Amino acid sequence: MANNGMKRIFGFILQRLWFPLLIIFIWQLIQNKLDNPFFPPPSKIWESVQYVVTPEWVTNSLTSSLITLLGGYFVGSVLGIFAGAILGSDAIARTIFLPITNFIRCIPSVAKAPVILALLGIGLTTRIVTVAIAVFFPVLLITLRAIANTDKWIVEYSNLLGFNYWRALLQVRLPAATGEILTGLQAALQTATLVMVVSEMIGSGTGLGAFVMRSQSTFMIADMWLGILILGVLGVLLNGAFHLIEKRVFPWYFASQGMK
Amino acid sequence: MTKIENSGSEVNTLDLGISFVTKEVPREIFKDIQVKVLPGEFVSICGLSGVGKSTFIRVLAGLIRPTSGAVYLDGELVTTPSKSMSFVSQDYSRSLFPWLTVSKNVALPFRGKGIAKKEIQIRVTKVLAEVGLSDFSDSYPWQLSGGMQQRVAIARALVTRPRLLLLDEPFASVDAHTRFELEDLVLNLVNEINATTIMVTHDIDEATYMSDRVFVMSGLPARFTTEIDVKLPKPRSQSITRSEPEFLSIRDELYRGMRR
Repeated sequence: MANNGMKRIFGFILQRLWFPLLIIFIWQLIQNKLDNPFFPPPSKIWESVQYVVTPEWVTNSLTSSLITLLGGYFVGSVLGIFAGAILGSDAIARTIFLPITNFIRCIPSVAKAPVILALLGIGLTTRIVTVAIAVFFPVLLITLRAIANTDKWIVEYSNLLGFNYWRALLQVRLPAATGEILTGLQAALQTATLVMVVSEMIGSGTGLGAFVMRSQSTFMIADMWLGILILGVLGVLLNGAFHLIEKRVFPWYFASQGMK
Repeated sequence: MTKIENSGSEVNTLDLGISFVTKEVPREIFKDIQVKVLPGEFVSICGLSGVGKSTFIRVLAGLIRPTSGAVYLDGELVTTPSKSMSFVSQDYSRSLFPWLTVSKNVALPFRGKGIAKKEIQIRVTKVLAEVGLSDFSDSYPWQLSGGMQQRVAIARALVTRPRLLLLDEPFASVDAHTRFELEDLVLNLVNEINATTIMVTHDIDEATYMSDRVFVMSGLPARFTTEIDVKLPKPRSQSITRSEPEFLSIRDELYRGMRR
């Protein structure tokens, strides 16, 4: 069995990773011809791993970034789904709150950051809030649309059952919107990563974003590349984790859509 | 288990009318419809598409408020869907919830009604056996064929042992053979619980085959223009009933009534 598992992992790597590995290999091969200080060869970036990755670095950069990202993403998603569900199902709430929501939504997250910075100062809370706000609006919007467009037969049936507002929302309209909400959540994961990096680059000295900026400004180009590559790997891993979790939690959705 | 004595509801409508207000003038869909349906009776309403049949049956169900007149169920004014009424719509595949298994879909009418889990389970098992889906209680609706999905919808309608069953073109989206099967299934089950049944359909053969009384709805605004008592012997049989001379003459009368 263990042998089988190893075979599968090896097969997976061969299938999915041969092309990136090829690029790294070629990058290394042509390093002499490149001879550009801003494109250090992979071997040099690998060397930087050995002195950069210390327990202290892991706490200050990697863990800090993960907390910012996951904390902000979680808070923003939960609040976004909640607000979207209310606005999508209640016409009065929509009339009152949608215009202001749209206005704030249309201000780019990066432009909102200084305001949050001024209000909360530099720190983890600020970064989490910045990410949460950036995630909140797109999740709200997609949930709102999905809930407002719940299939009319499904709505009719919940009326026939005599479900009250909350029961209809939680037990009928939200599950009916599963597909759209998952799409929104997945897209928001990218937004969250982007805004996490930006929030770390302005002001704060911690996180991967700050590490990349610092490395760049002190001409530690290999370190900078290491930071960028780690961000890339982090993004891929989070996306993979997202897929695993959504399939574990909503197996019926993927099976009913004939998706794998 | 002792057989629960059940009796159908009496349905009365008084000068029932509905109109939609368009930009210029209110458009009347139907008006001055007076009909009395006796307990245990099976009544069909035939009409061409767009005549207002579906709107009419939704008014009876308490899903749509009439603009004039009133519906009475056992002498009581209908304002919201009654607990003793079940409704089966044409689009079964969209009124079944894809995130719930067959048995959980069928148990939906009991949600939030404070009925013991065990009691619900007994009733669901029984009704699934009656519609011939005992082996599929843990399947999801989207894993079943169209005819089987409509059986689930029928089971879900009958699990509460309704006194009034409303059918909105219930067999319009299944193939001809399945349609015959489902017609007989519904006739048997309705007979067993002695429910009053009102069905709207554009299929005059189906209306003749299943009903005690058939109305034709036509005109703009629509009225009940033809009324026919169907005195064909019971129990009805797909091969015998449909070849009786009386079947053919009723069918002919309905056909001419719908064209008028």
